[in-house]
Amino acid sequence: MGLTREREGRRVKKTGVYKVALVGNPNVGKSTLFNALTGLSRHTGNWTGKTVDIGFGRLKGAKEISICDLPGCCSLSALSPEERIASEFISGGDADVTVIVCDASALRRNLVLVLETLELTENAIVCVNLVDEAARRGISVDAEALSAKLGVPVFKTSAASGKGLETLKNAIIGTLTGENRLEKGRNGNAAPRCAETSRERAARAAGIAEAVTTRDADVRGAFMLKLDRFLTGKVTGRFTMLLLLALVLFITMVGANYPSALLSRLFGSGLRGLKGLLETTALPKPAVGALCDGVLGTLATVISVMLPPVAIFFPMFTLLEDLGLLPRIAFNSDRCFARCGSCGRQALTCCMGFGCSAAGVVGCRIIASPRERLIATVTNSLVPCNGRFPALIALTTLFFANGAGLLSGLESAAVMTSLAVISVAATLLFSKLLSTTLLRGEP
Amino acid sequence: MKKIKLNELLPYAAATVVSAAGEGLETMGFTEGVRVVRLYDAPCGDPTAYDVGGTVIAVRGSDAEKITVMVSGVWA
Repeated sequence: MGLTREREGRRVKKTGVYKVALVGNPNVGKSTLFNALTGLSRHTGNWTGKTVDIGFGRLKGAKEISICDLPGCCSLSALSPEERIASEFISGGDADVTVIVCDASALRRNLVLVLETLELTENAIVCVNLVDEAARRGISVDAEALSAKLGVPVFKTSAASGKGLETLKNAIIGTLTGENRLEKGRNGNAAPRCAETSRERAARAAGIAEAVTTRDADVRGAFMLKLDRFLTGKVTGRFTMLLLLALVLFITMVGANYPSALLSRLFGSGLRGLKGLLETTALPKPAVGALCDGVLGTLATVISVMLPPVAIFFPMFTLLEDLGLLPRIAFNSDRCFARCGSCGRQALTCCMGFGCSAAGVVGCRIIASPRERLIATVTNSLVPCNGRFPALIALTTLFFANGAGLLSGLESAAVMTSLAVISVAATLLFSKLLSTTLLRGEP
Repeated sequence: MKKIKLNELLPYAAATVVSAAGEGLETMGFTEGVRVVRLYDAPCGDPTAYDVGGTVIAVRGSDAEKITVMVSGVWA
């Protein structure tokens, strides 16, 4: 890492490429902002700790500017891997400009990181994101006042709707080319260079947040609290989780039937045509058979059986993710997993495992403790992934669904849900087993 | 005014953080002077959701023990 590199001033790189880093607390919309700025489609989701590595992309319309999406962190004290990545990136002088992204409705928390970052770098822009969301909750932020207090430019954006992005983009380019440079150092309120204790910093953040934020009555907050109460209730929480799982599986199974049949018919007629055509040529018959019935036939079957469930399940899972349901699931099941020597985050990787085991295993990076991470990784395969669904669905329909139409669909969905519940139980059992035997005493 | 542990706070009661002894708790927002409201428990009773300065955070009972808060009423 370039820890020894000079930090002061902006360096014009030999390659002519500028680097812009996006930092911010978890779940403030950094990845959404990144996608909006670069036009890429980095995976976004409404839950904390989703991004654990650095994403790179080029600014739309200004290819010489590269944008780096850093993982979300609450501080730069390097306690967790994602915090270490972010703090090394900023303090190492890798970024020419650092854009600090904040959640407008939680400025008090977010400003701690802003102040910390400003101690490491002078070339920073503060981006107060999610202003639309905050406005719905009756919270507004005075950007000018905040800018005066911090001594750096502050911009308000709503990355999801695209509001304020053009201004932010111009500000980034302006800072890189030196237009905004005069503003720097002029301000008396800039962050002190000497190290502040975390307590002093938090107190200062609280004071600034108080001064620049105005709050009206929070109508939406009361509703969200009621909804949260329902989703995490003793009976309602468990029931809703199970029902949602069943619903997702039901829609996947019933919905996949139609495109499956269609694809299979389509491929079937195509293959027959191809076979007829090839048989008229000089090719030997066994070769034509091996190609059409063997290779292509199998491929066609696999695609027509596998593709529809995958194509239906993933968008639905993304919807649940964006609704913010995953943190609630983790919250509800943390105790179960904690008893088995793991944590609620394993519930998330488990859920991802239903979509794709590979995604689930990769997702295990969000777990901080090495032991819990290993447990989550090893036991992820116990949850049937989307690729195994078609086989399970076929067997379920074969053995359990005797009725016709919707009824048989409901019946198979019930069986599939039980299978899913059994697999989660197996995951818990083996997590417990691993943590008390092989991985006993590991941190 | 009375000092208690965060996990002793009654549901929907508000308090002010005095100190947080656990690793990483301060960076999560449990810093001196922050207002916390205990919200609801998970179905099994643990963890518990708290409103910490406007953000909802789930804290396990074992961590909540390490946080000292000040209550102004007759709670706890």
